[in-house]
Amino acid sequence: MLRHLYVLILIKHIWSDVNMHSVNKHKKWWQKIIGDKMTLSGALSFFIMGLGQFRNRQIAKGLFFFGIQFIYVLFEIMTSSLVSEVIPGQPKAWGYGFFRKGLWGIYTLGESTGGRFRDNSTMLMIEGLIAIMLLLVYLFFWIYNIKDANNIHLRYLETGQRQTSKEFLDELFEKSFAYVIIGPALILLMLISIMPILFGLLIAFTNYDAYHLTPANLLDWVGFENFKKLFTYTRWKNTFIGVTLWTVSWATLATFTTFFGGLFLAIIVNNKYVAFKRFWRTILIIPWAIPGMISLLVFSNFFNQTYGPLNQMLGKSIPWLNEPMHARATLLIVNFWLGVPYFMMLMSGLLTSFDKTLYEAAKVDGATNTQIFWRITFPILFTQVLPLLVMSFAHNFNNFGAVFFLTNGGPRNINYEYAGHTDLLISWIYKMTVDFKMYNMASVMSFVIFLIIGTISVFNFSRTKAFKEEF
Amino acid sequence: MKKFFIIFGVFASLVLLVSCTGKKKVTAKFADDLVWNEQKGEYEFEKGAELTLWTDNEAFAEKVIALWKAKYPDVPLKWENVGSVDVAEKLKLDGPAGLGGDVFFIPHNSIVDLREAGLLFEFHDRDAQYIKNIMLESSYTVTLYNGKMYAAPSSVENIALLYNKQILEFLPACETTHPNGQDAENLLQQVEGEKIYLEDLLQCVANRGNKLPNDIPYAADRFEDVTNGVISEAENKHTLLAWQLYDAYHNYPFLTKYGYRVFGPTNNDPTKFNITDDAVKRSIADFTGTWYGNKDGSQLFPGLAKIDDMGWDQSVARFQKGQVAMTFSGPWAIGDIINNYFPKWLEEGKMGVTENTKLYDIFGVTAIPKFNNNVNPTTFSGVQVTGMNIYTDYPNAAMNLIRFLVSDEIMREVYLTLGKIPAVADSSKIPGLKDDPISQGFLEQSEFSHAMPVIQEGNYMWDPLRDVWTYIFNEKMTIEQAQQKSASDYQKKLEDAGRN
Repeated sequence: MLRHLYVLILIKHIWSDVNMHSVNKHKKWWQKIIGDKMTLSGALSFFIMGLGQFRNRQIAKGLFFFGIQFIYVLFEIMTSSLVSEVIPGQPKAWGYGFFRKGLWGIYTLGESTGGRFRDNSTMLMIEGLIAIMLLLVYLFFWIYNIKDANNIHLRYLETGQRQTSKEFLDELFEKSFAYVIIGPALILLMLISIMPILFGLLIAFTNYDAYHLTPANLLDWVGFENFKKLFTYTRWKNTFIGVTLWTVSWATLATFTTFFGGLFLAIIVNNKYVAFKRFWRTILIIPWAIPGMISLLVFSNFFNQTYGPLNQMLGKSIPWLNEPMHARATLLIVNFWLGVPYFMMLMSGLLTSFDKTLYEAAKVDGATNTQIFWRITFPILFTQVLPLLVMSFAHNFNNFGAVFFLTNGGPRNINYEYAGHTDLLISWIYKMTVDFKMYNMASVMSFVIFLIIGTISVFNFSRTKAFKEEF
Repeated sequence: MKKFFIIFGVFASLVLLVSCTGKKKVTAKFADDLVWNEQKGEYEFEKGAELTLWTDNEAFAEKVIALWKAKYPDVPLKWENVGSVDVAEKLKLDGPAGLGGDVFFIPHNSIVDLREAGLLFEFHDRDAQYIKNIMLESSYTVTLYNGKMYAAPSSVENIALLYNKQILEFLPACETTHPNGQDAENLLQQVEGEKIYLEDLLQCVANRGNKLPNDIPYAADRFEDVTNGVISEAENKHTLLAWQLYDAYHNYPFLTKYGYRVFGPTNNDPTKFNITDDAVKRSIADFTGTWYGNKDGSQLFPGLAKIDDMGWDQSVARFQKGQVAMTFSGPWAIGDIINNYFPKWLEEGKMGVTENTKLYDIFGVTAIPKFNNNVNPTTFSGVQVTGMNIYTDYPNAAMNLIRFLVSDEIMREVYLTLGKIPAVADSSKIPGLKDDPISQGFLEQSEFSHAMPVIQEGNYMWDPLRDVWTYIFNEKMTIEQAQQKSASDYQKKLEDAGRN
């Protein structure tokens, strides 16, 4: 009997030895998650979190995991009809606990209407999302609990030593301090930032519009119906493509005009022959200092074709804001006026930080001013400024204020669905939601904007030096 | 280790605390659960009731709170500044979250929005009857749907013809076919005495190039650039008659000469948009006459490049400054004059304003002149109403507040503090209203006003109604083409909005 046991233990040791030599690279995917091997500790932890840790003689850790499970279960029970108050005649699902109701709610989006005391689809969606997020946190702890139980047990088999909870804590704080500290903030971020974004995205898959307002009506999931509508119905498709093309060209042109304008002004003001530098800089920064909204409203009166002072001064009747192409040009001009001071200050700062010796060396070599600019100043400047340019592009892409206050979408386009000639995607969305309450279509559009801007931003940041050095 | 347990203990107790607070006691679900006290003539206040009122005028809110405190000292009432047009959107989010005001002021076209969303409390028949007895019929019809009342009227407003007496007195009388208008000495007598037809007025304005003569009184006070007694070209544009052209609300009267009403005679039949009716065509044709024209050349608005150009700043704002003689606008235009321009003129001694001059010595309001078939133009009227939040915790108290807000003392405050016309049926209860010529002018037109539609389609009618005029002026379409295009725009909007 003993001999058999001895052989078994030997085999077990060899087995774990062999396993330890199979380095991380050869681990299967499930091994990475729950540990090299499922042990009894892991199996115990599977059902009641912390039990495996108790078996491993790590009491404090076991209590911690057990406590988490206890809290979740307690929460579920306290919010269900077993403990909470029940309004007579309420729907059956209102008696479920928080998590079960959340999951039910997000699946069905409610089954009865009646204002305050019946289902409200949007509220159910939000509560469902919160429930899902909290359950994800629970899932994380649960899996970690199993993995930990397995690993500790395996390590014990290997080394014969048991790590106390305190030692484990010290090790954790040393190795993964960052993760522990960020943990709570991450959970909070998930609930406050990510949940609303997901909610907005989920609206795109429902039929939430003017004829389906909650809580008087229930929403339904319609799948990709809205996306199909956007990309296949001719009117929507034409409007979408037209507005997107204009938005992209507007963002590019706006960024580049303000950038080169700012650069030009910065170089001029910086030139050694210019006197009263501070005076010029102060005057040139005034457009940026005045609230943009006010300037834009005044400009919309200024450029009025019939009554505007500009046309009166010129003596002509130029349709600044009444013809499509004119309106777009005017928008660019006004945005130039508003945006140049920002880049001017930026470039001024960068230019003064240049190494003067470069210029001296260039002059010694006999370079002309143009050559100095294009071959020395510009390349250095450009690489430093490129991330800011991309950020400015993203900002102009969504520059709601400029379009809304100056032209309100501009001269009407009869071929477009509710959009005018100078409408950006974002102002089109605004019109759809506020004026016409087409929340689901607006949500689809927001998602598209997110994809475009998100891709550009990610691409941009992944190429910056800071990102590259880190990873 | 100890620290660990402490943190853990705090977290656990927080969670327990949150789940243990439980749900608040709910007192009423629908009108059936209101408790009426016959002796006191009011509802039984809930214990510990506290109310929040959403309105946008501070002076009025303070008055309401003071009067409420005098009557019900045990029930605290506070107010939050929320613009009446913003309430609908705000309530859709705040209501279910429990943060909404218990009672709020909204324009009546928000009623349809909030009712469709299920956020308005349905009034008991007792309250509906009470309100119907004391309020103007045209004001409470908008709050009804399927025979149930969803809000209580507070004030009414509609547009009318606003005119500058000083200028009109100076201008010679216009040619008119009106039987009484032949012996008027000046335009003021014709307009004030209702001795001129609308078409004749427009023809006259067009004949005079819509400009003021240079020798009108106080020309230098009105305009910036008066050199050698000549008003500058740039400023003397469309100064006889100008109104907000790019706006369906202000142009609606001109469609109604032959009996057209949007959405049928009750303004609430969604199948009767009927913009392509012959009545509409003839009405527009008579109104545009030979003088309205299009962007290539208009006699009424010479030099106007596009209808979009004539907005508030170019028409009503100039009227307020005394530069434009006549305009079509509402009581909101007068408020600005009282607050800004009149005191300034008094201070600077302009326009001949002295201590004894009253507002109605300079500005007047009258009903829009009749069409030459003796029909009065029909305007839209707007009603400010008070509604109750279905997510309120204290429905009895809130209902009492609504009854309080329609009582005589508050209606008096609506006029005295807010300057609006109360929606009461018997306006003799409001001191001062009878003697105020400006309010009387609006009341004259209110007899011919219909409330804006309270159906969902009412939100979608504005753009097509406005575009009829845009198509005629900017796109130079014929009247039929404009009508057809408007009708098809309207259909497209409905389809896209989800109505199948």
